[in-house]
Amino acid sequence: MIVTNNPLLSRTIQKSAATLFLAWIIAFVLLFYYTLNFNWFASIADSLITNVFLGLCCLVLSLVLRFYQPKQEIVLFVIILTLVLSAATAFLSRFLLSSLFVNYQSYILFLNFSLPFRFIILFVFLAWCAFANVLWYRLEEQSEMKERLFAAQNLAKEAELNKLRHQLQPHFLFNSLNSVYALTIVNPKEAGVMITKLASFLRGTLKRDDEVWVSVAEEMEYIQLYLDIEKVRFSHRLNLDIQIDENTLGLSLPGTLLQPIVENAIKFGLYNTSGAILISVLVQVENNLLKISIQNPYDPEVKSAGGTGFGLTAIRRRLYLLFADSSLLQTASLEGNIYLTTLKIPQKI
Amino acid sequence: MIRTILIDDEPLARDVVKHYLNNFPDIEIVAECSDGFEGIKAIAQHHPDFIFLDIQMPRINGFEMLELVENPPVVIFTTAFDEYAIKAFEVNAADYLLKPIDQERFEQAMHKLPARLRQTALPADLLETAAMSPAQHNRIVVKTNGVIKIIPVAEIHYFEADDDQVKISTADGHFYKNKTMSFFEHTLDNEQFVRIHRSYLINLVQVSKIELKEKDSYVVLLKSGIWLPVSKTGYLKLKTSLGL
Repeated sequence: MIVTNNPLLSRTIQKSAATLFLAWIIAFVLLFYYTLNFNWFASIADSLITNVFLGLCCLVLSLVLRFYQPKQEIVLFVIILTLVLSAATAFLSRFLLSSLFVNYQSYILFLNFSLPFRFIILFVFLAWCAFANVLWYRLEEQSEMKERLFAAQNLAKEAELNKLRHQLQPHFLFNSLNSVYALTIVNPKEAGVMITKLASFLRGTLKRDDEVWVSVAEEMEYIQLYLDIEKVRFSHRLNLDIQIDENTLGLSLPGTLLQPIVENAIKFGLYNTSGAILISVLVQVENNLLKISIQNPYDPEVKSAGGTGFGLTAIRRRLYLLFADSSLLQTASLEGNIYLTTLKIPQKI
Repeated sequence: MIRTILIDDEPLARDVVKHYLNNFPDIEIVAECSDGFEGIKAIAQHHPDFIFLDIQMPRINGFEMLELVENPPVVIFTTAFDEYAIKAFEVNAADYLLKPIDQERFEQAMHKLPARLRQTALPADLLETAAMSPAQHNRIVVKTNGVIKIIPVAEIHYFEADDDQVKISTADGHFYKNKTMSFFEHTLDNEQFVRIHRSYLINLVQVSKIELKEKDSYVVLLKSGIWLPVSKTGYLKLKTSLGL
């Protein structure tokens, strides 16, 4: 049950409710005095007592309905609640009024005679009030749901946009474009090669999807493109050692897993270190699993400053979603500040 | 002659700037550096009139490097894509070139250069704005006795105001930084760091216990065994941060 605003919390409703309440009391005073010819005292007392009780009942109804509305049999619930409240009001006000005006014979007679009518009027009024409240809460709930739905949609859109932005890797893209530009000046022939590689890589990026498995041959070609581009940017210090076991070429893996791991190795091994470095990728079969091992050096100082280690949590979570096994990704720090990441992929039969 | 240094970790990126500078015979490249540490050394050695500085570089980034240089020269930033940096530039007037660098834009920057060289070096608030970059939230770079140290923010016990400097206490000892207490109070995650006193900003993880010393006067014991005073407003902040 959603707790929505009480209608009486709104300023405008407060004002009109107060006005209505006063007008209602005055109308009854006048009715008793002029039409039924009771004295002022009795007219005012009757109207005030009955209507104050009525007002209180309205408040009680509104509060009860705010916190509790049965999903089924709401009509029955409201009717019973209203019946109880109107009976209570009718008898309580009769009791008070009759003890106030014990000696006012004609009024007491009228009081006893009018009891059923008072009950009916109270019941009708309270029932109307109750259903108005139910309607109010329903509308409120609906608009709140709409708002939440809207917010959720917005969030989803934003996440999608962020994913796209990340997929494009703007930092990598613009730096690569800058390298291509430099090559057009210093080595125009190489520039052409680099442009075609960049194009193939981007095309590969756009095709990636969690659902689609790709063959090892295809995936490694994509990784090779990525590393080749980095090699152009950092030719002076990036060394690559890529070994692919022949009998893995026919195996396959989800197209979104390896690239982020290699990207991570580049980030820590290349972007965050200075000096010549070696990044090695080894693709093998082991116990019917495709096993890919990636080694990169790292700067221990920078790593500890990074906080969360090597930021592979997202990949581990994805592996869990795909295979219900987060142990498929293993990491280890080797001697000489080398970081080893091992990814194992069960093969679809 | 105007003297300059190129600081960029990609040789090809430096090649572009070198190529453009061929058209400016009165600008001399006195050094080329491929990371911030080399940059600091080269600046101290050559005292260039201005530098070309990349932001994303190994180990320490361009902003962190500048913080460590005494009397930094005029800077022309060159960057490929760094949302935070670009935001910082938009706020301030310092010149920056987006990679791939457009030749016309480069020449425009060079023509503005002489006027810029006559001005004071770098707007101080540029570095403050650069504190928006994520790297600045999880590490602080300090220099003690000529040695540069990168302190992960999580390892800091507390900050203490010390004249016009801030003393940073860690398990490895104290370090000083030319910043204000309010700078750290506002740039660091305020769920982790709480200003308990005019002179103290503490890492909540380090809190061992809080004790009432006298009426309305509290002290806090850190895990390192140090007692620090807590002011009245500091106590309120501490209470909210700890969810009491």
